[in-house]
Amino acid sequence: MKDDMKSWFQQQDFDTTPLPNGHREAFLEKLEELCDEETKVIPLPIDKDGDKDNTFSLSKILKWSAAATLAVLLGIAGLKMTSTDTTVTEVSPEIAQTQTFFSSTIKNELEQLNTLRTAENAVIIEEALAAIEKLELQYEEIKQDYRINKDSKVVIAAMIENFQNRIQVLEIAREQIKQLEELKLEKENENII
Amino acid sequence: MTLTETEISIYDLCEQGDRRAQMKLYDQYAYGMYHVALRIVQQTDLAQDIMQESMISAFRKMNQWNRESTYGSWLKRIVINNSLSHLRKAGKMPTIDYEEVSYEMEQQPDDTGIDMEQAGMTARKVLEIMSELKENYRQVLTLSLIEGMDNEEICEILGLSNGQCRTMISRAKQSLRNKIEEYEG
Repeated sequence: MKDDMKSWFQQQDFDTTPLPNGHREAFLEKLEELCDEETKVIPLPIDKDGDKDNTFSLSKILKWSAAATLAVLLGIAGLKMTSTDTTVTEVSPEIAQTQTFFSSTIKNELEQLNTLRTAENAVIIEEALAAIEKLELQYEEIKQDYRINKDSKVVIAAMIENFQNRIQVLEIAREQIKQLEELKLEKENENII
Repeated sequence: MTLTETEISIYDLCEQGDRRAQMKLYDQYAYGMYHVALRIVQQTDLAQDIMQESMISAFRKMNQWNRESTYGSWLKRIVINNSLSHLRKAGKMPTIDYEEVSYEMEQQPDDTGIDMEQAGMTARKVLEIMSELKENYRQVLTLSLIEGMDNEEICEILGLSNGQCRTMISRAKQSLRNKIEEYEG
């Protein structure tokens, strides 16, 4: 009997009043306002995503390592000005080390990305891989440049930036895949309410 | 130039393409969520504000959505929470009267059931009758019968102890029944 009452309630539509006029505009305004504030101040709570493992430590590593690497490389570049060696590895074990570090981070990230591959996000992944390939070619060019201009800070900075760009490409791809997942779930849940 | 994670989350929220997705979500849930808030706070302006702020905070906390519940029910919980916390701030939160508890209701004859249809009830009439009840009764009945929450959830969200809260809910139902009978008769 009690359940009768419950089920009667469940069958009713209690949502009878229309939304106030201009509610949509008001909402957009609120969103915009928030975005303005945030782009100015930026103290957004950091993503509390479940998968803390790589992306965030990665960003941190990236930030610190970029600064450290730059310092080290610039120092080395200064010291090695007179060196006659021709390739990165030969010139400096430090640079080689940096290169290995970035390469393995990127390789790791690439492998992770590949494990996420599905039919829907294949396009995203392919695009990311193509961008990486381009950056790799660009890196080869920079390396050639390095042979000529070992002492150039610009060249070294370009090398580091190249690595950073690659990591960024991978991070963005992961972010896009995540958003795609979320959108899919939303669609699945569309009829619940 | 590398984006930091902070910048990325702003990007998520404010980037144009994403804005469209957000408005789509908004359009989908605004109406239902507005009514959830409205039934609790009973003021249209306030209900709109609460609904919209809940939407925004849901966008920002999207990652906390555990996927065990649907997005809609997760969002609804946020709306209910925000509505209640508004009442709390305004000092209008449902509380348990001392007399009610001291009255010591044992398991009362709860299920004398009412045939709502036979009583000529419609959604509108029931809302009207409910608004004539004591405020705290109206609140728990809204959560229980209209939002479909179970007793445990209601007690938890109201921050009331289980036994007393259950008593209140069943008394609220009893007084609704009485009112409907009055109406009928």
